[in-house]
Amino acid sequence: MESIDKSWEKLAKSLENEMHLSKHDIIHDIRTHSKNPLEKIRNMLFYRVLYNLTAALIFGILMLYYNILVVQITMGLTVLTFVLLSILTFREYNILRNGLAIEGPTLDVVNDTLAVVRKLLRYESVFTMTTVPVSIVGIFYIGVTIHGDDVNIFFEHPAFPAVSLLVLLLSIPVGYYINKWYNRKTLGVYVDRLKKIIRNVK
Amino acid sequence: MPRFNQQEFLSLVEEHQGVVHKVVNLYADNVDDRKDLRQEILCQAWSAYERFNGDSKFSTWLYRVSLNTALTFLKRGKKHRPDTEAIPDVPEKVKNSLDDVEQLRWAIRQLEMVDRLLINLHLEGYSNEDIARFSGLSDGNVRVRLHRIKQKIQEQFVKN
Repeated sequence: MESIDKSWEKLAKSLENEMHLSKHDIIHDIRTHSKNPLEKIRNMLFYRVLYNLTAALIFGILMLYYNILVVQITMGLTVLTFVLLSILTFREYNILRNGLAIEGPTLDVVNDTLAVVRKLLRYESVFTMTTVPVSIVGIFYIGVTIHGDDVNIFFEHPAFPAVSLLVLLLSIPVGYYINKWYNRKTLGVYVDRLKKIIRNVK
Repeated sequence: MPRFNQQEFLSLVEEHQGVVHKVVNLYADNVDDRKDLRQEILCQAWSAYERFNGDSKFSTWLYRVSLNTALTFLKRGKKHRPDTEAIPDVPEKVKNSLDDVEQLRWAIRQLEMVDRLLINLHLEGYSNEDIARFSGLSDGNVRVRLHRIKQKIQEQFVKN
């Protein structure tokens, strides 16, 4: 192995000296926006918090606007769901903001990273299956209101609540599969790679 | 703003930047990837430095951060290179133009990522116990795997 050790000494020297970074270069690199997948996840969580709070606000206004008990109860529950999701999302965002202990043992670091990604994927599923269907129905209400029509008229028609419920129920599995496909497309390669590293380390 | 002495951090990184360059050159494929990985390592080191308590040497700590970042970093849209069970032969055309140092570099880069980490630390002079602590593998596993990796590289050297 002596030849390898000697070659390594030379190789290490050449790699080390391939370039030199000044303090200015280091500062520049630190300030550069991170391209780490976890950083993207963190940003995504932040936008989810904003989305949930905005949706809660809009549904809150709708709840006050319509004087129909069924609508008010539905909207009230929706507002509650969005607020709860905002709190949960913000908690996850805060954990990621502090960063994972990248200096720990490799196996722990990779396991922690995978756990964060999996948690996010689960969260995304919940998000798609709860907020997206409700948002679709909400957008319909808003559309009707903007158009100048009265939602009360729709409620006088017995088929309307049934259609609303059907749209809600149908958009849950559709959302689930779209979300599954999207997660696979965006984070699938990354998850596979982390799993492979864990398998290799074990 | 970080609660640590930023000038101290910059001085330490400037002094030990060779560690970062070594990892970047062994893990990234091209100039763009190297630049991205280097920036990512420095970002991660910056975020983690607050937790550096001096238990180990700064160079060792930076090695940990650099290698773990290299393993968990993946650029968007970047496909993972398939693992190689055995190191493939150096192509004839390339073989003639490579000296021992370049052959070693080439051989290490053909290794699967975790093996690359192990041989890297071994060649840097870390003990098997240190490598086990570093990686999360057991001592025995490190010993066996290093033996296998060294054999692979040695065979490659003999062949060429």
